[in-house]
Amino acid sequence: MKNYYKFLWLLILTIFLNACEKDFSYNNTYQSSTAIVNCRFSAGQVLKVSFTKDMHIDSSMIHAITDADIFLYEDGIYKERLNYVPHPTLVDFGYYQSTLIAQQGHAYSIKMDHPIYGHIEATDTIPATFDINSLTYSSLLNPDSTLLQKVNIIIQDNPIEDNNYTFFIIDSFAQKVISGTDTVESRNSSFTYITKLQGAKYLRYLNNPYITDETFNGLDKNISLSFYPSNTTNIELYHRYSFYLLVRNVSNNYVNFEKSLTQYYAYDLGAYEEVPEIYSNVKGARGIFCAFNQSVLFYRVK
Amino acid sequence: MELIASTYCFFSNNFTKVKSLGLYIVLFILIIASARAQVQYSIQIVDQQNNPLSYTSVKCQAAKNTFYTSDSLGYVTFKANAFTLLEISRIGFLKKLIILQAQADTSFQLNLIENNTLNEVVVTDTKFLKSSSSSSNGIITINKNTLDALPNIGGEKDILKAIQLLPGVQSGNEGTRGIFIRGGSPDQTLILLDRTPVYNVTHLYGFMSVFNGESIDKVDLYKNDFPARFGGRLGAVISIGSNFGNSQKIKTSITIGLLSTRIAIDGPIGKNKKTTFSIAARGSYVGLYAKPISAMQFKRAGYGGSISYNFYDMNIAFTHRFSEKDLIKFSSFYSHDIFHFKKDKNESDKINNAWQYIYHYSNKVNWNNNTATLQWQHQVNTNLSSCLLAYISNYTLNSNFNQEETEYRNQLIVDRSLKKYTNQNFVREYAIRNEWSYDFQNNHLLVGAQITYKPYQIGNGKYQRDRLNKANIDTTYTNTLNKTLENTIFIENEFKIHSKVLLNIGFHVVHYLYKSSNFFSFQPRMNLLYTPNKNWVFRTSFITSTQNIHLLTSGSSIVLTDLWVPATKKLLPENVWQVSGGIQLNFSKQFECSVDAYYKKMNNVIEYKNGVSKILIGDSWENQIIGGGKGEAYGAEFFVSKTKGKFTAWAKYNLGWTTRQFSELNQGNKYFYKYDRRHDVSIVLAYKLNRHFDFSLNWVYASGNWISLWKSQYPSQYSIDYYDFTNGDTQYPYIISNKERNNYRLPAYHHLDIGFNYTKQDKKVTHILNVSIYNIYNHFNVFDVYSDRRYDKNGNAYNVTKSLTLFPFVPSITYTIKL
Repeated sequence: MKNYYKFLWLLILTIFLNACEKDFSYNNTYQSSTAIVNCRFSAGQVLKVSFTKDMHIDSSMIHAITDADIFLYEDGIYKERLNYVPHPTLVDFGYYQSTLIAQQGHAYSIKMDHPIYGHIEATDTIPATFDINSLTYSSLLNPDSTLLQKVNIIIQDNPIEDNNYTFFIIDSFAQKVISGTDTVESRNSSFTYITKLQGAKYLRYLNNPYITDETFNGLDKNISLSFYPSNTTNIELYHRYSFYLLVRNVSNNYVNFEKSLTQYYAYDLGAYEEVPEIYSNVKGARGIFCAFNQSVLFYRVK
Repeated sequence: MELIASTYCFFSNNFTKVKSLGLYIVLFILIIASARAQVQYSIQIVDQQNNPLSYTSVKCQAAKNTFYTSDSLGYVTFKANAFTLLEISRIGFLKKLIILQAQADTSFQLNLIENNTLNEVVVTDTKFLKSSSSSSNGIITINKNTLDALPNIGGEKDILKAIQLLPGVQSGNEGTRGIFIRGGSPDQTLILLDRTPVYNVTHLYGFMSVFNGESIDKVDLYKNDFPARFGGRLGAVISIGSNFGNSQKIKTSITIGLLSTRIAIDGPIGKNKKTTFSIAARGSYVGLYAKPISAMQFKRAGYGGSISYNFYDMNIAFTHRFSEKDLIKFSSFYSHDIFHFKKDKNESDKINNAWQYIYHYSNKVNWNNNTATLQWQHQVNTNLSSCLLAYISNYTLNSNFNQEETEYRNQLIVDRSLKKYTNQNFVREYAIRNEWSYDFQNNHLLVGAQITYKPYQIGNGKYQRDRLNKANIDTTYTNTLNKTLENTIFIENEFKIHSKVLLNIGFHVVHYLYKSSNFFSFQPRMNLLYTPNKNWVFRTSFITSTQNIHLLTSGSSIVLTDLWVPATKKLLPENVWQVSGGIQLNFSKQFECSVDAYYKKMNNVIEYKNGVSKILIGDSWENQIIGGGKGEAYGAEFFVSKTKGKFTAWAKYNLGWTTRQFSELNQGNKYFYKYDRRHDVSIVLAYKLNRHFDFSLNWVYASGNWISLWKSQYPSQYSIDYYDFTNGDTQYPYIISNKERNNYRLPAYHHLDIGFNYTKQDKKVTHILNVSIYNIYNHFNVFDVYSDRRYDKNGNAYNVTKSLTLFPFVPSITYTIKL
């Protein structure tokens, strides 16, 4: 009988110890076949185009393409060949930079014919500028209920074309309590602008940062923004609270890209399942070539 | 009653001898000589073991060759001349001819003898597949004996596994739920238990059907053509009949196995035996040892956590004959599954305490099916009968999910996320149906109507999401009931155009109402059979069908997520047309081979959108799905069998292609459906050594499923903007470039199983010892492929690709005692 139990136990163990996970190797013979173009540009800046290529799923290194002849066009007229600018660090992002300063209202195109990746081109137009007519900080935080804060702004919409606006809050409060290792949370800003804003590192992400002007084309628009402070652990510091408000008038390409990226990162990428497609306006390659125009306001809470 | 002539038995191929002139002369004289008054005959038709035989055809020559059909208790009642000639036939049994003369109303019992040479596949003498008979255009019937002959996982009789060995049906991978027939998805197969739909048919990750083998009388599979009486699904129909109990004596069966114990009891109630019953119950105890063993496995892999799983099911069936014309049947089924998957991870830099990652995951899911069916069968007269049926079917799925993730750097929280949800979903079906059957001349006419009300609760529950420095979500959804109404009428007629040609033609018409949207569908069906002689059968069919329900499922997930949702204005009802044809050849009295080919076109099939969470909370479910897809499937099925002798065998080979096409997926291009199987082979061998020992073996080979593997990636603008030069990594992961859907076919799936039965039969007790081994050569069939996040010693994250195999090698032993 004792042997019978031993045998039974052995059977049970065999069943469940065998069910297992194993390393899965498959012959991923993927060869890089797609060029990647990344560039966001605005009025008053040079264009800086990152030209790289796709890579094996297990790779972590960015692979720059350094042998491209990228030509810049303004409103369809050839302007210059972009210069390859090696990155000062070990990581090369394949930057190609213009000498021309972009202007609002103009369409900019890049074109190239690469021996491996073929013909690539992309175009976008810098939206018109606009004004922030007023800003009202309407409520301080209420410690008894919510930390939500509100800002009312009135912007003057540009009537010439349909516009898309994005909004960012960069609060100066964050830099006082978070050490240098803090992470930038918002994905709705460019690195370039953060450095220009004199050390303000922490960006607040708004729930609905995109507004189109379908309902207020050409009119003043009163917009209410609500957001949380970057840190709430030290309540007595609130009297020094200040923030930057960035309002961007962005192109349709910019909005479509941002929306698809938001959806992409919201997806739990834990399994081999289909992932959301990222919007691209680059013909012959992936990536984004998009434009925006920006107004910045600084506000200190009294 | 006095039998004035002997009973004659004829093999079907000798039946023409009955029509010899001499016999007719004798009959004529006897008819003239006998009394002309009509009497009522009540006959119970049984097999050699006294089990009642339903659906047996009785042809009464004295009543203008009128056909009668026996009910589920084997009874057939009719009025005829006092002297009459009866021809009794049933698939799988020798045809019997008897001549009767009765002085008054009379009743008696009649035995039929099993036949192994009729147009059937009989792989062993008494136990095996009775496949396509020449009168049913490819309808395949499986009975209890078939199940006994197959090697089973854990000694469980599994009706779904048996079906998967048949031509046209895909061999199911472990972990896939449902039945895949001719390139269709699982929801496209209508599975009926006593004419009541069952929505979830599997236990244990799809390994085992919810139908206890002891509670099943027989199963019919319609894959070429399903007649107009069926509807609501695109692909095929599996009609399961409950065991309503025998009318002879109480029989008990108890089986003890490694996974479960089951008990079944059936028999008559009362002395007059007008009531019979059957009760079968099964309970698993997998969880008792799965939990500690999985915890041990997890610990070995560096995790905490465990997997716990338990299930039970129960079937009850009763019949009562109120009169010779009225029979009431009631059956009910309940199954319940409970699954809990827990996983914890705590990784850290143990030397410098520079980083720590804490992960907790818990997913509790329970689901249940239950049905209740009441039928009243009434024989109005010799030609006309009706069946009034009412049923309730319910499928409920409850989930409780909790995932917490925290990442520390230098003891500061740099990332924290919490995702929690609980939801309760169900689909219920309430229906009343009435159908009438009328026999006249060479026609069998069936008309009927059904009203079905279905409430769906989708995404009812609470959803909470909290991520550091992100806006929190904490929402409760309660008003998530969706109601639909379906009104159906159908008419079908089986018409014998010629002695060798049989035509079944019919229409199934449905009005479907969802909210204020009305949908109408008219679904013609046609099936033509030509039998030039006893060896050859030619068949062809054309069907159209509409499906007003969709199944949302994450096929690869180990945790059940199956959710049924109604067709809506946005997600239109699916529809299909299918044409098929086949040839069957029987030769040497023991071999059968057949070839069938099919083509079908599906419209409005659905898929999840790329990248949706697949967590259906609130009313968002419609936005997570893409409708309006097109599907195409075509292929051929080859089947050969040896049906007689101690050694019997069969083999099937399916060759098929199936694709899907959506404007929003795969750049609008066609792609292979996940379950596209180019090749699918099953070989089954059985050997009966003597009355004590028998062996069986089956080998299954199938092309692997398609999955969408991530092959490449690229940096986005943010990957560059937020590149961390100190770590050499980006804070915004690269974008996975998913250009093609289903771009990788998993390795082929195959396993060899063997089974051995030892049977010892005493006068009153039968003992059966079953030993079986599933996947004897221990092949690691891939159930799922996934990416797992790992950390190196420095706290840098990296991904590894893992595959999960559920059942590499499964020995089992069961002991059954039958009283």
